[in-house]
Parts: sequence; C-alpha cells; structure tokens
Amino acid sequence: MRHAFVRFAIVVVLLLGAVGRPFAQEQPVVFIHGVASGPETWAETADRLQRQLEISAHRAEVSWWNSLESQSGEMQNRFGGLPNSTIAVGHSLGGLVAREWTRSHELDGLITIGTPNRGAPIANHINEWVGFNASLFNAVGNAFYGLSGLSYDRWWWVPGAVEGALNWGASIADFSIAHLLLELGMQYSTPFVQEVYVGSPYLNALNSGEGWEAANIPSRVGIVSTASEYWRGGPFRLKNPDYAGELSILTSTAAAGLDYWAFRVLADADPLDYDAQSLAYGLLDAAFYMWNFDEFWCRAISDNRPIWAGSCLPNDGFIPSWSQFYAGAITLEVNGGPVHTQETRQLGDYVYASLTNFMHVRERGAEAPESGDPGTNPGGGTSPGGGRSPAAGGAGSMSPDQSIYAGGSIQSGNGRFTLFYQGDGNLVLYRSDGRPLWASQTNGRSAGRTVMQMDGNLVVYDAGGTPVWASGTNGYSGAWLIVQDDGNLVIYSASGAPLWASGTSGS
Amino acid sequence: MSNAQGKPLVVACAMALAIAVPSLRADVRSAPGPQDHWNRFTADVTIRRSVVQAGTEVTASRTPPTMYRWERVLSGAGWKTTMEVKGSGRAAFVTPTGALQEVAPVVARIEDDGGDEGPRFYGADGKRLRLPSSADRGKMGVGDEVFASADALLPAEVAEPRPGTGAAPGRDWIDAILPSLDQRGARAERLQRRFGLSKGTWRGRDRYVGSTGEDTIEVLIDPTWAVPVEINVAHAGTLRSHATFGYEPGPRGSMVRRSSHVERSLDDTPAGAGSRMVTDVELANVQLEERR
Repeated sequence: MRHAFVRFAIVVVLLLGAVGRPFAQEQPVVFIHGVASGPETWAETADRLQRQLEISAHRAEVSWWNSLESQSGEMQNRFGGLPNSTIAVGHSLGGLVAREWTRSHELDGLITIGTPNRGAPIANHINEWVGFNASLFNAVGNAFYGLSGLSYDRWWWVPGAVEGALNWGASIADFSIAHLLLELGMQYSTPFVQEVYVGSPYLNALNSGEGWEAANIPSRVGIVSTASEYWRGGPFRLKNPDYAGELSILTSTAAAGLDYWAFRVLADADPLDYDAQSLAYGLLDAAFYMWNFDEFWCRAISDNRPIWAGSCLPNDGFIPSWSQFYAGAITLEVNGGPVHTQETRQLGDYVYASLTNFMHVRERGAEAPESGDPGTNPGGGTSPGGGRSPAAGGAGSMSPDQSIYAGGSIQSGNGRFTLFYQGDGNLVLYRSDGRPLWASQTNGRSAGRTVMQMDGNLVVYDAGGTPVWASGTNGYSGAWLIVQDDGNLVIYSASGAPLWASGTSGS
Repeated sequence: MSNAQGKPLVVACAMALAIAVPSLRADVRSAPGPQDHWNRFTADVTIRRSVVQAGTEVTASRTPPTMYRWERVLSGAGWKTTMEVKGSGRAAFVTPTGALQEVAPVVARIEDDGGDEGPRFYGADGKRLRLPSSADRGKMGVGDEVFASADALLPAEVAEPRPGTGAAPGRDWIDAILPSLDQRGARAERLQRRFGLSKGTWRGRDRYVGSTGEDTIEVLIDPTWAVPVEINVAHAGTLRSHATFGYEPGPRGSMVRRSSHVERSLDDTPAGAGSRMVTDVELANVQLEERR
C-alpha cells in the first residue's frame, strides 16, 4: 500500500511537472496586426518564435478600421485574462493598439514594428494624393482630347504612338487611388484615420503618456525599418516590392516618351497650329505627373508638409522612419529592410533579438545560456532560421548599453578566456594561462570605461570621456559583444550577423 | 475677340497673369536664312513644370527641371532623333544617414530612326528598356490589362510593327524652332489663311483672332518676323491658356525660339484664379551643322 502511494505521488509530481512547467516558464506574447491585415500576417513568425522560445504565442484579431480605443477594448476582452508578464508585439497600427492596451492591462514588454508612433503622414495627405492622381488622370484625358483635335492628314501617326504612354498614366492613377482608398482603407471617414494623422489630438495625448509607459512597462523596443529603394516605385513598392522597380521604369519610360513625342510635335508643327501646340503641351503636362509619380508618393508618406513642397524621407513604403521611433524605448534600426507589408514576416529575427536580449525570454530547452559554437556563433540557442543564433545576455557577453569600468572583465562561458579592461586603459583579451591574445593598444590612456553602445559601436573611453578606440560597428543598433568559448571576441548585429571579430578563434 | 468692347482678349479676361512680351533683337536687315547644307541639329532642352495654386509662387511644386540633349541628324530616309536625358526631374531623396542623394534617370536615351519602328528607350547601362515579360506580369499584382495598354510604348517579347512617323526628310521643320526671315512671307500667308486679316495691333504686335466652337484664340504676332509672341485661348469667354514665346538671334542669321512659357488652367476657374500648370521650355546651345 505504501509502495503504491509513493508510486502515485511520483506520477502526480511528474504530471504536475509535465503540465505545470510550460505554463510556469512560457511567457505569453500577443502579436497584433495593423491596417488592412489580420492575424494571419503573424502566423509564420509567431509560430516560429513559439517553437524556438519559451513563449506562448497569441495572435490577436482586431477591427483595424475602428478607433484605437475600440481596438484596445477588443484586446482586453480577449486577452485581459493573460498575466502581467505578457509581452505585446504590434505591427504598424497594431503597435499603437498595444500602447493603448497598456492603459488597461499591465505588460512586461512591448515591441512596436513599423508603427506610426508619431503619426502616418499619408493620413494627412489623402486628399492631396487622390488629387494628384486625379490631375494625372485629367492630364491624360486632356492629352487624348488634344489628339482628337489634330489634323489627321498631317498627324495621323501621333495617336498610336502616344496611346500606350497615356494609357499607362491612366492605369497607375486608377490603381493608386483604388489601392489607397479601398485596399488600405485610408479614407477620412474611417475612425482610425482620424487618430493617426500627424499632429492628431489622439496621438498627442498618447505620446504625452510616454513617460507613463516608460515607468510602467519594464521593457520597450521600437523596431524602425527603412525599406530598400524606398524612394522608387510609388505605392507599387508597398503592393508588390519585387516588381516595383520594373513598374517604376515603365512609368519613367512613359514620361520620357511623352516628352519625346511632345518635342516631335513641337519640332514638326507650325507654331500657329494651335491644335498641335496644345497637344504638345498637353503631353508635357501628362509627363510631369508621371515623372513625379514615385516622388510625390514618397513625399505623401514622408511628413505632413504639402506634397508639392515636401521631401522624400526614409520610410518603409508607408510609414516614415522618424515616426516609427518609439520615444524612450530601445531602438533597433533596420536599413535596407522589407516594405511595410512584409515586416511581420521578414523582421522576425529582430523580434527574436528583442525578446531574448531585452525581455529575458529564454530559448526553448535551454536551462541556461549555452556556450558558443566555436568560430561561428556563441550565444547558444537556435536561430529563427533554424541555425545557430546569437543572443546577448548570456555568459561572456555585453548587451547594448552595458559598460565595463577599469578593473572589470568578462569571461567566456567555458571560463577559458577573459576580456579585461585594465587600469592602464588597455582592453585586453587573455587566455586562461595569462597569454594576451588581443589588445586595443590603448594603454597609457587613463582608464574610463568600455561601452557596448546602443548604436552598435564598442568604444573605449578614457577618463576624460574621449574615445580612444572603437570597433567601428556603429549603425547597428542592438549589436552586442561576446567572448566566445573558442577565444574569439565577436560583435554581432541584433539579427545575428557578425560585424567585427578579434580574429583569435582557436587560440 | 468677341467681347462687346472689342478689347484684346488678354484685357477682357482680366487675368492676374504677368505678361512678358519679348522683343526680337536681331538685326533683321543682315539676317539671311539658314543654309540648306546642314544635316545636324542640336540643342539643350530644359523643361520646367509646376502646378501653381491660386495666389502661390511658381516654385510651389519644388520639382527640378527635366533636361535633354536633343539631336536630329539627317539619315537616309529621314531625320534620326536622339534625346539624351540629362536630368530626370526627380528631386534628390534623403538617405537614412540624412544625406541627399540624386536619383539617376531611369531612361538615359531615346532614339528614333524616323522609320516605322518608333522610338527606342535605353537605360543608363545602355541596354534597351523593355516591358516586363508576360511571365513576370502575372506576378506583379497589377492587372494584365494595364500592361496591354502599355504595349504600344515598349516592346515585350514581340515588337509590334509600328506605322511610319511621317517625318519629312526636308529641312522645313526647322522653321518652327529657328524661324528665318526668308520664310517670313510663308508664315504670314499661313497666318492669314488660318485667322484672316489682322484685327489691329496690341502693344506693337499684330493681333489675330480666330474661333473654333466655344474656343477663341488670340495670337499676337511680331510684325517683322511674322512669328507668334503670345497666344491666348478662351473657352466660353473664360481664359484657359496663356502662352508667350521668347526669341533670340540664332545660328545662320535666323531667330531661335529660345523659350516658351505656357500657363494652362487645370480646373474650370479662369486661368490665374484656380490651379494651373505652368510649363517653361528653354532651348540653349542651338546649333546647325553640316556633317559629312
């Protein structure tokens, strides 16, 4: 009997362990989609991160066209029962929904990606952009009208020659209005639009509470993405980035073609042939809009200046980078990244790095940070892509914004190598037998501190604050350093790419 | 012009446009017409275009000019035209580091042999631009009908035969750009055939008026050279378009139509009252050469 009881107790303990352990360790992470999207946009990344990290992934579905307060209410209704250790990851408008949700639900961490934290300029420019395309459409119509007024006997060859260019202009105008209004839901009557324009009372109120967010959310990260060739392709880049370049070429060719035909007419027509002159200037007018198609879309999404007077600023195809910065939060910048509509799928590595580096989420199956993979990747764990991946905060590593002061050191996970910031100002990597493997050669300068800066640069400062050595890896926010088990001192980007190494592996 | 007072159109419409009346400065007594031996025409073309809202400055649209090097060479059956793109009119964009970066023109050169093929477009790499292949079109997320409409612009896999451009192999076309004194009589004849006799003078220019439907066209002509210096068009009594032309002494004793300034109303309000498209075209370094 006693034997049976002990056996039962063991089974209970095992069962409790089996059931209780995941819930005890898995941190809830809620992924929130943005405009004109749904939970499916996070499916790939959320599933992958759940396989790799000790998290329970939840994908929200909110009525993105509604007010942010309303969407936050939907979040609370569905996820209000999650513990305070929950982390929210919001893409685009979903980032603002997450921020709004923190007013009613305590969170342990918040990550925004491509979020218009300072507003979406396109919401300021809906009328202007529609007006620009309407003008393009009208200019094309006027040019066609001009074609009809020509003397057929003399200009019979012109209509067929310019028809393709004009039709292309009409097509892109039609596409871009329909895309903006119907696919992206950017209409003034849509509730969220009234809240996300630059300078809106809603955003002013939300951002005035950033101090509150800083005090109440332990970890916040803003992933700021600038798409490659963000200045080219107009709204086509958002819709289909793989072919935006080709569509842009076609638009430019149509514009050049219209200019060309205009000059053919100007060269060959009697200056007093008003119909021909009118056609020529009509073609030049239509070409103007087509030359500026990409530029004016870029301006419309860049800031709230009138697009006629604005500039094309870095953006992800929809939201300008300056607006994606989340004040007071850790910033991970992505240059040459995906367009807005692909960020949920392609910036999973940055979400991974944010969760593991700044929110202390552990890799699945890792009792403790693993030692490194000599020569390749030291942080341990499995990468989002399935290979080895870096993760700051493990043994022998320096996370962004961490410092070593004179006399301080970092030791590799296996204890065989030590990075020592000496009192003489020299930063030296030693082997356990005392042999120096690498040094910053800054001895003789008064020791200040060695910082793994937020911008990705490892810098040795003297006591007066003057930088005396740097790794030169600035521009990689979130980069971190590790003393690898193989004796290599390596700086990795937030996404796991090695940026700098001492070249001492195998020593 | 058909207003009751018989005032010139430009006055009757009471528009707010500043009217520049260029003067022809060439010494007409010593100006022979262009020789007939030249076979190459070149000019630098600058096109400045902007949309101006009522009451704003012309620079409101802040777009740089489009610039071409324009060449026409007599070649066999016709004139071969080449336009090299020197500036695409695209404003510099701001890089993530805050620097300004110029946008290289997508189309670097346009060529037209003057035959049946139509113009060809070349990129900066010297390769001919083509439409996306039909295989790619399906992946672009844009309706195929969009590309179908553009087939006349660029060839894809199969180049459709194009009609002849009708360009005449003669040199008469140059009179539109470089009017000569020799052709003065012919120009005056065409003018009177189109508009009838002059309706008097305005600011020292001969004034001609014609009507087509609801459109009224007023042309002010330099009496010495018989070239237009100003054209105004009204629709149903409302000024819709205003153009001025500037001339300078050109090669071989001709005048060169150096500049044109055209303002066209973009809406139904009178020109100058609503938004309007302003287009300035300038020709520089105009040359006629004989090449063997």
